[in-house]
Amino acid sequence: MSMGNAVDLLLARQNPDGGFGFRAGQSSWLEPTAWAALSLHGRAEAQRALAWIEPQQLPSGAWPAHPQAQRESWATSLVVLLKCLRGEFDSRWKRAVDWLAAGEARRIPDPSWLQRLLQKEDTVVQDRSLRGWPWTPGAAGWIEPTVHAVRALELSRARYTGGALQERIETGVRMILDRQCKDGGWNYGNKRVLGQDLDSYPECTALALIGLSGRKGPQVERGLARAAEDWKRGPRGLAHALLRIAFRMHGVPFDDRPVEVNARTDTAVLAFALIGGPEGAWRLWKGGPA
Amino acid sequence: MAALEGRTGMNRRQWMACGLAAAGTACSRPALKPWKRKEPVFVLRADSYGKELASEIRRAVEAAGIAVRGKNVVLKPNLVEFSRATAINTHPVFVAAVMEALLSLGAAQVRIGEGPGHRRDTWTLAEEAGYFEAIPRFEDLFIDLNRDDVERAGELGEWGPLWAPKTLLAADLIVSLPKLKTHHWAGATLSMKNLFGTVPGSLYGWPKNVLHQYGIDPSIVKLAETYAAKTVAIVDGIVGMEGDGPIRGRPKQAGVIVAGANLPAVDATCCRLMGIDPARVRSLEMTQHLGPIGEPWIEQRGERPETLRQDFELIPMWSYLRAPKA
Repeated sequence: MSMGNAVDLLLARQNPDGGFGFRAGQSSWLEPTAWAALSLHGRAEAQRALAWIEPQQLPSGAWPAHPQAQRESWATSLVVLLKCLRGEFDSRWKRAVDWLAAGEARRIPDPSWLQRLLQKEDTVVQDRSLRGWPWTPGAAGWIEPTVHAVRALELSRARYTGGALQERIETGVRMILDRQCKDGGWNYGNKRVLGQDLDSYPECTALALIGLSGRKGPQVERGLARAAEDWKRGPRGLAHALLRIAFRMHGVPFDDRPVEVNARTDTAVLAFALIGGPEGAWRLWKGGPA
Repeated sequence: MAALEGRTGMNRRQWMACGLAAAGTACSRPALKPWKRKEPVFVLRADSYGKELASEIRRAVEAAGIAVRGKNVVLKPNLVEFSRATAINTHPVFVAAVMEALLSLGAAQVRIGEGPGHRRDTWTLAEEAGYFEAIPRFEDLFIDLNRDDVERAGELGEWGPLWAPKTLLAADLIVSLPKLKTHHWAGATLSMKNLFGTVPGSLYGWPKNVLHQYGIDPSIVKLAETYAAKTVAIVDGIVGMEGDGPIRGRPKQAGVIVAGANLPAVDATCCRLMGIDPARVRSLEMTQHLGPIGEPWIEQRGERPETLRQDFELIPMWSYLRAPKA
């Protein structure tokens, strides 16, 4: 299916309030609305999407995932990203960055002396000092919310005056690198559990590489090699759409093919299919010129 | 033991610790609480996902006393991973057979809903897992519970409201269709643990870590309390999973289907089939206000669990769950 059709499918999903659901006919949610706005950057529909998002900001500076659930969510990073791309470094942006910079995932408790005595390795192997960002405030840190927070703070760094973001960004990057699976890719965030190396997932590998955009080094190279292997297997849906973005952000040549989309395709996947096109908004997400 | 050490990463010290834990637990087995009546649970021998499966499931539903006529039903399978080559997911043929059976028994509508815990791309997951192929009109019938609109359905303590998919709250009947599996964090994953897939990832993420922070066993209890009044279970135990489940374990040919309208009674029966003492499974012990787990209060219909018992391999940290042989 052509990118034109993906645009048509996406535009047909915009609700009268300006937001997007995960599927056609659903109430507006923050995540699909944000991805749609990024993919439609520069169009009036993106402006309408932003107009739906903006007033929902909570007193804490964060945004809820859905207007009904008035609680801070990971998707605040996506709003910060959008505001950076639009050059809107206003008080809403500042409060959101403050919230993101102050937020940190829960530290998983260290093993007790008894566990250390009895176990030859931790139940979950990871550097517990690298907490990253959680899906919901107060929970443990995971790859995807950390990736989005890192990208949002990277794009905010030059204009933010509320404190040093670099340390938070670098901690997030180190957390992503720490969670790399033995096979070179990433999953949701556990590389080794109960003595077993866990497999990576292509969509998470792509996301981690998006978070590591602009970075070099042997771990990034291993990640890209894993992504190339995943690409050869013909990934579909979300993995397909995100891998294209990751390759483009890292300047890696690949045998591009359009993402198959249809009426049931998740709105985020539709948006990623557009963002990852040769002229898509991946450059903006990476932090480069439009 | 050496082979199991290799597979689980547990060493001799851990085996010793587990032995001590087992000894300690054996001395402090939680009490079985009486229940107000006997709850029927039907156990059917079923060796394959063959052509007779729908009629066998129909027989199980009828024998278990599950009423479906005129009801809007949502099936909740355990759909976790892309691969169809292993025993991670509820078999798609099993789901199709349940659908056929319930429609033949007069259900007004049967849909399917799931919200996988780790994989974001639910539709591609369902396709790769064989659901499109096995289930007629799957794409018209499926609801991604991770992305459904939501309503408040309870509280999760400091973690705030428990949000639930509107589709489930509007259904007349939810049918939990778990796979018969061991679980490395919960001991066993059955009809109540399967309700984790009702929690919307759109709000709680992938994984739904809030449930782990709230506590796996308390979360199982909370979800069971939320849905038990209109939820029944039909368990795919034809091929289950043992060892390091729910994903990295080994397929286990158990050859059973278990059906019932009371979730703790069904799960307790499944435990007995797996050679697990249900009283030692913390979440089951904690849900005795919702149903019985003790044999005196479960009316076993069909096959006797003890005759079909096959001891599922348990990782060392759960070895104390093993039920003594009769």
